[in-house]
Amino acid sequence: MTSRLLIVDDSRAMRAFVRGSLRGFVDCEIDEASSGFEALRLLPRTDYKMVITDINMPDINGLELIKFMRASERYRDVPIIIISTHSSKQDQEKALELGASAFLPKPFTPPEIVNVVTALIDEKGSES
Amino acid sequence: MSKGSQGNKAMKEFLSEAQDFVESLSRNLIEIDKAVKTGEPDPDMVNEVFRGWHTLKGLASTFGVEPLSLLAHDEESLLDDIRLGRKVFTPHILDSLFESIEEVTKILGIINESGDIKATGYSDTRTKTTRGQAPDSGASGQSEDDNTSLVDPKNLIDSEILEVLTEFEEHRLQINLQQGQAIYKLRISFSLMSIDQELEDIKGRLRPVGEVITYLPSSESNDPDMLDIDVLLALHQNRKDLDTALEGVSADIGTLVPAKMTPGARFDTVIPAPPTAEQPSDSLVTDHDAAAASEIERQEIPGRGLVPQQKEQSISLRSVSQSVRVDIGKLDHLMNVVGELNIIRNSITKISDELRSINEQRDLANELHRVSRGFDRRLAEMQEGILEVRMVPVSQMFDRLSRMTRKMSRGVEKEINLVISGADTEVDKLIIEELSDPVMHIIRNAISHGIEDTGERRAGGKPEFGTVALTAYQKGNHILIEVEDDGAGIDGEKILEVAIDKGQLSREAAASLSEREILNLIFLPGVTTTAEANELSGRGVGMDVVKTNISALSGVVEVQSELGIGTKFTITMPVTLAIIPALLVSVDENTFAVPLNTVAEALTISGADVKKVMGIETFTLRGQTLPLCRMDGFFERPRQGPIPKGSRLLVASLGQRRLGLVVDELLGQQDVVIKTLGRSLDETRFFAGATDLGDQKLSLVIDTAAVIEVFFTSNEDFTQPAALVE
Amino acid sequence: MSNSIVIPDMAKLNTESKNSVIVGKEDDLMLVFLGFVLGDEEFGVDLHLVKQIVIPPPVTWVPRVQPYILGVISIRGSVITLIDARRLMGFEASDRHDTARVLMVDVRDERIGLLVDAVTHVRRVPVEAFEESPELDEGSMTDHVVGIIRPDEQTQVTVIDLKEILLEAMR
Repeated sequence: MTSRLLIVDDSRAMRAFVRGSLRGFVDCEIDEASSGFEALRLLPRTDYKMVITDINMPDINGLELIKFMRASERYRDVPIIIISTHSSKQDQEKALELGASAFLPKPFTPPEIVNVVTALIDEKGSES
Repeated sequence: MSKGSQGNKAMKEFLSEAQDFVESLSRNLIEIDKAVKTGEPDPDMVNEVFRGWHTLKGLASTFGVEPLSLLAHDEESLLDDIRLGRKVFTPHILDSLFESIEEVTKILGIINESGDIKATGYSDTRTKTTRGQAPDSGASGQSEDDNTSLVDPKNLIDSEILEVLTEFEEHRLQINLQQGQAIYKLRISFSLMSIDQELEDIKGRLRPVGEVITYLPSSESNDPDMLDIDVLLALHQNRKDLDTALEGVSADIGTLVPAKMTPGARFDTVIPAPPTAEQPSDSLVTDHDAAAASEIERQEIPGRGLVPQQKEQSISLRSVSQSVRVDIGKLDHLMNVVGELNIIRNSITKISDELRSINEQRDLANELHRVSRGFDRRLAEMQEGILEVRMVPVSQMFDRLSRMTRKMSRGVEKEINLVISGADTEVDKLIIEELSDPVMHIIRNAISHGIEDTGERRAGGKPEFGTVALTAYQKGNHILIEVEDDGAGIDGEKILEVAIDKGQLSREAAASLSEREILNLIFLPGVTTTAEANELSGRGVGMDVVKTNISALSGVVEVQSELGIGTKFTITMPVTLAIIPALLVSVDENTFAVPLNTVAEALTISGADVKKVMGIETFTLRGQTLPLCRMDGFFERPRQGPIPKGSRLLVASLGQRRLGLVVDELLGQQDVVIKTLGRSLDETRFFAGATDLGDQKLSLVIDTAAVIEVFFTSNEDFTQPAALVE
Repeated sequence: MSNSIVIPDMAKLNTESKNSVIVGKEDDLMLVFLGFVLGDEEFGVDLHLVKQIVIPPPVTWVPRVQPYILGVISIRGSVITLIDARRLMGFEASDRHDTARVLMVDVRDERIGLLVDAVTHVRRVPVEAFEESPELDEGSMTDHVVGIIRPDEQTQVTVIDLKEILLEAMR
């Protein structure tokens, strides 16, 4: 069974960048969502191993997505990595309070995201 | 390998997305610019501009485009201050934002051309200087302290909600509370299957009645196919309006904070109203009363009714981006495939015709004929479909132009009112790309030379602000773009003088010119209406370049002008360049295609029909003299003697000009796919491209506009029999 | 396409050399050229430059262009300008033989075709066997001679900088 990973960002270039960075390093199929809503629609379909999301998105923001996932039986333990700019300390704190697993400030390099993702997958793996 | 191509793909996405940002940024800025003049800009739009810069910054730094991320960082912080109410839009801030967009375009252009992100030299001093000089830059009347006077939502809104609001959403909530708007929580159930459409529907319903702060997904739903969402809404209208807006939607409406009576602040949307003494802090009123109050408001503030309208408009513009991006190269490829299918179709038709002549095969032939007819129809449909995909609204170009006009009118200190119509007219993407510069040049001319100084205009009894009307519309297979100004008009006498001075025209020839011909002299190299090269109209680049560029796209440009009243340029372009119906003709045993839309009629001609006028061969068509151009001579393979019997005459017309093209034979009519010629053939201007007619050999597509152009302007004589050419 | 011979991807080879000569693997430095014939002379060009070799398809005459431009041909749906190598390099025009080929080369972002009398071999010679630009008569074409190679006793190949020649012509 291949595990799947979801990238949520309204920038397609950013999604392509994350996808490209992880390719070859992480043994996962990668799905993309361009909005919080699309993420909500995709989530029930698969058991995602991890969600990587931006905060500042129209309509449903990343914070709401974290809260939604953390409140749900099914998604409670799925690691969530926040990728966002440093601009708002407040947003960053809120994200971690709501239960984000990691915060990776933009801009990041391919090795940085690979490190965070693999670390979280390993952590998850050793738990079970 | 895969790593590299992935990076490449991301880079491409970056460039195309950044381009999208530039377009939507400028569209939004133009709307904001308008809104600032009459009232307050829509906070949603301000936020979108902020998010645009924000995303651009993130992307630029991720992809290592240092100059862009520096620039975006500056603008992001500025917009952040504005959206959070710490600053307001001033003309200078808007100017600098427009400038920044130009800067971004430049940087992207460099990256795109060089394919190298490091090729961009950018000093970040520009933004700082511009803004530093601005007398009213930075802090507005609103000081930081005012924020403390904002209502603290913590006392009014559940922390469950507050904890998931981003900083901006929290700010919008505060502003709305400050203004005394009622805050509602609407619980709506969405089906996961169709959540996008349902959401758009809800957005559309709520837009006129209030501001959606955010959407909160709830995880409480039991049905796995359904999703409950709480919509946090600041209601700007009364409760009844909300109920009407949500008619037919099952929504659970709960009031979080009731509306407050705050006269004067109800319709402000961006700047938090300064705290005033008369602002009652504790008078809770019912919805009904609030509605009555707002009713009165509306009467008291004339012109406010326009605000929602503008909102609608901007929203419809934005929805344009709800589309799939396709590389134009891929469409070209599809077009080529269709072209090749056309060739196959022709072969099938030929085979079926041959089969018909064989008696025993008649049934089969008829069957094949029927099937191929069906194939034809579908193929035509497909062709049309692909063409449609290539079409984009001219608004893409018009947006850029209005941005430029705005900037330019500030530069020359003239009030310019740019009136745009027909922005939704669709044209082939390639034409838009290529047409932008020529049109820009014409507008530049209109602003710098056409429109008079304010004083002059006043003296002439004209309104102080000059009007430049930019209009697009479709007429048959052509699209027309008009640039009309109400300026001084072009002085024909002056033009004549300049043209004679520059040696473009003899005095004798000048005497015989009609008014229209005189005006069209401005398209000759070196002929200009003003002596000095002006900063705006650009040095060295004249109307001749405009004409050349437009001709290169198989278009024509014409000018009409009346002294003291104004000038109008009309550009006529084919709707698409990719596939066109064409007449196939032969010249000296070579097949050429002539775009059908440039040919008015085809006649048979022989030497006996030719009358000479001053040595020029002409033909009398319904009492009118038509100059003739022998294509063999034009193509430098002239043949001796008079025009042979049975030759064909194509009456070509473009704009007002007519020319008779003499060819050997008419071979038929066919839709042809035009493929561009390589740069190595740039020197020949007479061909719009080549087309594959299925006989393995290419045929050149004659650019009628260029032929007409050269025929009438060049000193060469293409009408003479070969004896004189030698 | 049955009439095309595709040259294997040579992109792996390093092309650091200024005069666009291909240098092979580090340990056994070999120079690789494509040999073609004009009249009674064999020329060698940077193999890397030649993207494809095709049998000449029917040519469409293009009026009012430089004399060395033969016209346009259709290659895989693209319109390609065909240049006559004989006219370009100052040889006399002659009848076309069955051996004639079109070398497809990229110049200034454009793929163009170059008609030659014949294509011989891919010539590989060790670096030592490469005689660098010999003294020749002054002339626009001799300036573009990069060197001479002698693959065997009977054969002599004039290595030219084709790209420069094309760029100069198309300027």
